Amino acid sequence: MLLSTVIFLPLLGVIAIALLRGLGASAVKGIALVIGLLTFIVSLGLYTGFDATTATFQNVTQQAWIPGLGTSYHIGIDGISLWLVLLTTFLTPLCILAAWNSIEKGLSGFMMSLLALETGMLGVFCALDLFLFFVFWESMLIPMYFLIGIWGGERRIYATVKFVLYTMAGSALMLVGILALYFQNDNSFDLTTLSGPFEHSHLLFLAFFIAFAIKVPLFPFHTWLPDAHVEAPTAGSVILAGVLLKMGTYGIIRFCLPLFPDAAAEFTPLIVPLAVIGIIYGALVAMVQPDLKKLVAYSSVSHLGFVVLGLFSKNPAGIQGSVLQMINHGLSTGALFLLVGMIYERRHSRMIVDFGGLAKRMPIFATIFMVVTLSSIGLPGLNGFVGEYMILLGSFVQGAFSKIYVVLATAGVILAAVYMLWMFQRVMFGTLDKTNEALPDLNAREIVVMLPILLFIVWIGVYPKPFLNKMEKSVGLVVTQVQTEPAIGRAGERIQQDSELALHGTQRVQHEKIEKEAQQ
Amino acid sequence: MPIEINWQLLMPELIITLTLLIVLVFDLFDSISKAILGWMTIVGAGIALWVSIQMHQAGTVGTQFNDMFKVDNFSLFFNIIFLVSTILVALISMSYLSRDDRKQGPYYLLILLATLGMMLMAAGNELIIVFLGLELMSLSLYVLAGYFRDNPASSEAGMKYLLLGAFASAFFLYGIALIYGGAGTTNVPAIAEAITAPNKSPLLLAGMFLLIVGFGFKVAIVPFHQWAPDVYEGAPTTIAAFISAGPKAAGFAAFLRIFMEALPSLQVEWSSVVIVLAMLTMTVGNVIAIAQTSIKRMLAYSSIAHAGYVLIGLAAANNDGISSAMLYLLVYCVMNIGAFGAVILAKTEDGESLMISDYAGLGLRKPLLAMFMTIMLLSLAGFPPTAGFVGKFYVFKSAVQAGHIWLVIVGAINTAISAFYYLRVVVTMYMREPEEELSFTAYPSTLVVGLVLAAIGVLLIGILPSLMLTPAQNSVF
Amino acid sequence: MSLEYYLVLSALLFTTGVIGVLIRRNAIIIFMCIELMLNAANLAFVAISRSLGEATGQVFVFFVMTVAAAEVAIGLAIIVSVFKHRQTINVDEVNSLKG
Repeated sequence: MLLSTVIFLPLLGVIAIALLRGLGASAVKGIALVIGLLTFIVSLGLYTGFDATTATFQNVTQQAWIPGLGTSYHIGIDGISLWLVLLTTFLTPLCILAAWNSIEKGLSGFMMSLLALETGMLGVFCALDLFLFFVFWESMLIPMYFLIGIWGGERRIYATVKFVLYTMAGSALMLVGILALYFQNDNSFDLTTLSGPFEHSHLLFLAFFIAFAIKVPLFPFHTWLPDAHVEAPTAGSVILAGVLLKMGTYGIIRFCLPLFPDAAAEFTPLIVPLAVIGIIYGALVAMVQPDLKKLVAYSSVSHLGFVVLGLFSKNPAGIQGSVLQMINHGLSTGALFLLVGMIYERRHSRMIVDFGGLAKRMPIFATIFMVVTLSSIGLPGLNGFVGEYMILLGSFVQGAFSKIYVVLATAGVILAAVYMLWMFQRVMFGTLDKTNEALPDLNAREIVVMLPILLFIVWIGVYPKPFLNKMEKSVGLVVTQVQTEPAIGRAGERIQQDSELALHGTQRVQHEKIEKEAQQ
Repeated sequence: MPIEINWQLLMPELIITLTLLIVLVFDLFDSISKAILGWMTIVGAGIALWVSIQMHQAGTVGTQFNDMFKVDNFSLFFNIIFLVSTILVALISMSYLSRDDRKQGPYYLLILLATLGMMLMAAGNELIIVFLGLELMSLSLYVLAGYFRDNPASSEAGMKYLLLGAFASAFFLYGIALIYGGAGTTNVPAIAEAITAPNKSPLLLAGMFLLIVGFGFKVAIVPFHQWAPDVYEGAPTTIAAFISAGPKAAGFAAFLRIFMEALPSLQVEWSSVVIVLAMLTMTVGNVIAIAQTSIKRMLAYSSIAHAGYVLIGLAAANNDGISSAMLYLLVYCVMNIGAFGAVILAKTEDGESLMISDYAGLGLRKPLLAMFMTIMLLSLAGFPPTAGFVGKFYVFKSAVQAGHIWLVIVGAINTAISAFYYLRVVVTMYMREPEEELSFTAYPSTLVVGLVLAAIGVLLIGILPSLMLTPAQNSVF
Repeated sequence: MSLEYYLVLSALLFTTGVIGVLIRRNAIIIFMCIELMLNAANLAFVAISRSLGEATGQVFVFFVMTVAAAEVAIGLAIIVSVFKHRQTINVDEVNSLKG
């Protein structure tokens, strides 16, 4: 019941805004913000009530919906989806607040789209029924389509149509896969009763994986992402980077790995290189971008490459790192887009050359930007480090793919430092342009938007334990499911031990760091 | 030999007949406001709809007239489809006719006659009844397509529809003759019994193919679809909505009845043909629709593509296939009439908005209209949570069950293609600015009522599909 | 005479009608070719009915004739209405509706 409330509360907000839109802009904004915050507060109940000692789904609601189609309204969360749900409910009110003054036309439509989008995303993360999952997966496209298409930039129509068509092309195949699974699951769409091995598991794996890979986006399916990001309004970019992309990686954890372990094993040598190419390619392209937003967009391609790499390491450290990195990316990249949006509102430009020396004029902005930049790079002590470190460790100790890829991926970390810091230097230091002299620093509303994100960036960085604890059992279940193939045998055990060592290693490193910091 | 007539079974047809007689008589009096004729049509069709639903729920079934006329859940479900279409079309027609001061009497009379013809087609247990129903429907539609006699485009649409429709009827009739020759009877169940023998007579096969050609023309399946865009574009918009909905459903009703009930032993032969036709129809319809600049032509090609989705259900040839085709037809009729209704609603002072570019900027200027249009288009494109999604999903599911994975893959890819041109209209409405400011006429209330009903239907079936899914599943003969 | 002869003749008539519809451009002639197709079907009905020794086919023919008459009435009316607008009933010249 609690979970249903969280999912459908935003939809209630949509209806409320539709009915009360006559009351004026501030009422609409107020309703949206209250609903967004309320959803977040209610969703905290999911966290406090979450039992970390089990991998089974919690807060489960199952109700007959369309018996004629063999589908039911079946929702629940585990340690993986819990975090994505919280991330969604956390970012949405911030987006509403960030869009407070920047939407000039059709404000009520904007807020309605944003809230409807939230319901769609939450539904995707909570659905335990393939049909329900697909319904949310597809229906979330419509509000996103409007967000980019109506409130976006110059080439918004091109970007939004490309976004929808890419996603629909992927989901067309996933639909066939879902139907084929249905008949192998005693005519039911229930996810919890699905158990392999399935016939034609390779084709089914591909049907799901391509849909998710487009969403992630994995190289070479990424071309829609920069367009969509650049054209989307700030709130759209934040949600897109923060949550939407995670639907792809979430799908891989939830469907591709546990349901088709043999196919996953077989395709690993193909997917991992793509992930690594994505890491390097995204970083290199980000380096030469003159546009701040495009730079952040390509950095997403690079970061998500890490997440996919960690997932296909198929051991606890790698997958936990990936899940954590999903949250980290949501926070850091979301924050970056918010910051870029704030500077764009002031200067109406996102070109790096138009800036320089901002640190003097806007010290608060510069400080926050610095922290977020460092978090995105993966500086120890901030959230990005923990995730990336675990992913790299996890993929280093596994036996499924060559360690060369891990080395190459590490190069991606260095490249990230290069492009982010270079960008930071060009924007913040150097000579201040005359046109930028009058730029005001962040106002109270904007600081309120950024502070919660900073809090989590630091929290996850110094003390990730509560985050990892909650997901540990669920990730462990995925790992046992994906490693069921007998080929690994003793080597598998060794890997298991290694990865546990790696996990402890991470925590030890963290502790040492904390101690050091404490000493200082 | 006296014939026992169970009047109760014939109630829906009798009510429609009575209504059309009343309309015919009232049209004679000049002193009566002609607007009442439309309401009479709606009330008559509404009562028939209510009776059909009651009969469907109560399971009032049986055959009449020496086994020629069969009332079963199948025919009753199709009655519901036809009558819903008729009511919606009548609602969107009223203001359309009165604002141009058109004659109303013959219009509603012909609509009711066509509806009666459709009901006969769905209930025909004898090929002769199906043929007569088909002709009753078609002849009425020829006239309706050319109803605006002073408009050259309408006359031309009427002539094209007539020539190709009559051509198709001849194929259909010749097919019946050959089936008669092969099976020795024209009674649907008797045909099935007669052709159990393993050696299939060439007459039967030839007859079957001719029937496919005849139906192919009537329901606009590629490669027999060329008439549809011209007729939709030229005919009055309300009639384009009508032709695209009820008659297509009626054609499929007879198609399903004859092929599933009379010719199941030829299933190997016809299902492979139907699979190829389904793939062709979806792909050609959707791809050509992309290139259209006229919204009526775009909807015409989209309705061709939708016939392809229904054919998937027919190709599956299992119980789910039949009920999914029925559900799809119901959903399709509602959303397609809704889309045409939105086109009518977009009328400006200068005339109807028939080009897609005419819709630029409507999103913020005419939010209600844009919302209706968007709901209908999203449903046609098959986005959840609309009825179009449920219909498509169910059709695909039945085909996967029958093992036609490739057919479903082609269908799913087509869904993605179709999203492109449906969304283009939405893009035009919400994301483009108009070239010149347009002055819109006021919203006619009956039209808005029709659109509200269609929108509620589309969303309700989308969110709670069991409302119509369960009846459809109970309606397989 | 056996049934085959009648069916072959009816098939020939039907084919003639189809070819006529496809190659002739005058709406009236096309219409007459469609009538020919209907009558080919009628011939088949009567012949089959006779050879089976039952009446269904012959009854069918009566209905078809009635339907054909109605079709002609409507068809000619529509063709006349087109002629009034265009002064021609050549189907190639009546083609204002094109995408």
